[in-house]
Amino acid sequence: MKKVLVMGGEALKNQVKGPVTKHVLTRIAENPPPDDIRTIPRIIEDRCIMCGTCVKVCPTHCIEIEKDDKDNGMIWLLKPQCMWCGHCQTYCPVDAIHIDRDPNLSVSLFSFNIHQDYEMLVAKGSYKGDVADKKLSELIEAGGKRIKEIEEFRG
Amino acid sequence: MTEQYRSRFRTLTDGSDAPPGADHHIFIGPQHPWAEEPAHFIIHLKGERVVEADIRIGFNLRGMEKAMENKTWRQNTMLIPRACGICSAVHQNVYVRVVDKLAGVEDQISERARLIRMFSLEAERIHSHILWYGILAHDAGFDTMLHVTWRDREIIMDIVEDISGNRVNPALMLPGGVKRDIPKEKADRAQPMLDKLIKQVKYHRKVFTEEASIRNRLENVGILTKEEAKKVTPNGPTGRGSGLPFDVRKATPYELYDKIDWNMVYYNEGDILATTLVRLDETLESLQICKQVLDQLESTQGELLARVKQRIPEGSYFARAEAPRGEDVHYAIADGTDKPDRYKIRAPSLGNIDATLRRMDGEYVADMPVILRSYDPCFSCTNRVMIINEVTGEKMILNQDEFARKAIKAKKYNRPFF
Repeated sequence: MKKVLVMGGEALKNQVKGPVTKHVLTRIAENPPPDDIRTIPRIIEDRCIMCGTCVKVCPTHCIEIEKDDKDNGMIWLLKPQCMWCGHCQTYCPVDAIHIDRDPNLSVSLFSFNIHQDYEMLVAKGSYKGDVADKKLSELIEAGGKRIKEIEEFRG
Repeated sequence: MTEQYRSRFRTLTDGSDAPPGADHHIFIGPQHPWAEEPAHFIIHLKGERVVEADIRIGFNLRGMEKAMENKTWRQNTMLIPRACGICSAVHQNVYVRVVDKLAGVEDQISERARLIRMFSLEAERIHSHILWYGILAHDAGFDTMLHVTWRDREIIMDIVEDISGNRVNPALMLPGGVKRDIPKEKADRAQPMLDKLIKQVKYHRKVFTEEASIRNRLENVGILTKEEAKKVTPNGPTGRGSGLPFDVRKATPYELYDKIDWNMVYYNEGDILATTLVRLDETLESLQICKQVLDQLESTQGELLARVKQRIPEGSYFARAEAPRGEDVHYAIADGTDKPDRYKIRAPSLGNIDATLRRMDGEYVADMPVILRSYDPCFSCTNRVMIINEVTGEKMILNQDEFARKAIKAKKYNRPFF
């Protein structure tokens, strides 16, 4: 059976309530994002054993590691390239990695400079301090070179 | 035999190849305001009626299968859901089942992990179907329905976000089990939301079956009869709307679909309204499955993740699943290393193209958007074959039948392929 104005009730309801978009801001304030939403990983320094599993399993190659024969080393994360899959957390043998819960983080992650935005996840032993600063400047320099190459290639 | 299979890919450069009787040709796509997906349609008209329709695909080949050969099995778990924007969980499900079988850990996966996988699959089917019939209403010129359906779709998106941490791409599955648990408080939070959504979907069904303005656009439009459907073998809801009762979940049950109480939906009419009703009823059925799964999760315990080694032993396996759009088929060859030797994806949209072109014959050109939308086009995941003659530069796009016939002839008479 065909009728007309089946959605009349809906229309009247909306007429009384006003536009849905009016309530959006209050609704966001009332319902914050869930506690275990996915963002970038963090490493607990005391637990990390510098085994390099997170580097091997990362699908986007966004984690870089530099280390010596012992437990000394550092791990860098290329933030904009991380797709928040959580593989590093799943496969970490010592449960050293957890996912960050900071709700403001998603704002700071809107970066398109994908060759320079590095973040230190962990630094241990002799790799702390000046060595880490040197490494960061190296990484940024390498990223800058890469951007230049791409720009030259595009013409 | 050969006359049944007409050549779809006509060239119109000199006009000689046009189908007899056609006086106008309309080109749609690959970039077109109507279509979100890159496909090129050529519609041959006589007056306002369609004589014949052609399609060309292949504008969005991303080389994903090749990329998978350069990544490890573990990394590929997170690459494979990117095959499709909407049905990401089902691609991941087929992939992890392939890896489970090849690694030999099939029996170690607990019931709880399988239930969580099923919840993810069914939640995806719900939001995909709601999205589809919203866009269908938009194409039929009934924009109010688009906004109402997409408003209600947010309920299931919130549930998926709560459970997996992502809205569209839940990425819950891993070889050997699942990544995250569904604790009791989350299940309790989801149950009343599912009840609310059931009420809303019943209301959507009432609108689609009773409201005259939408029903007139869908009823008796683009009819694909059962006899024709058997020739062009559509799969998924397109086939079930034409009276082909085939569902992979019933035919070869995977995960725990044989232990859950659910019915397969199919209609015999074959018009666009029938495919719409198949999807609406399936949404209700999936919501019911979701509620059952959450009930069973309370009493089921088990290890979430079984250990799978990095290196997958030599072998090959073929698995399939019922995606929201149809039958999704994966085939993998492992060579004993930690990377796949070859991985093949056959996405559901490819199987439904021929059936959709059949629907257009003799219809009005005004009904084209609705008919084109009817099989839920998704070309970013559809793959195809193009053969290029190196000597002459001639290009041929072949379907499976033509390709097989040419290959058999070439082998039998020891001739070159072309």
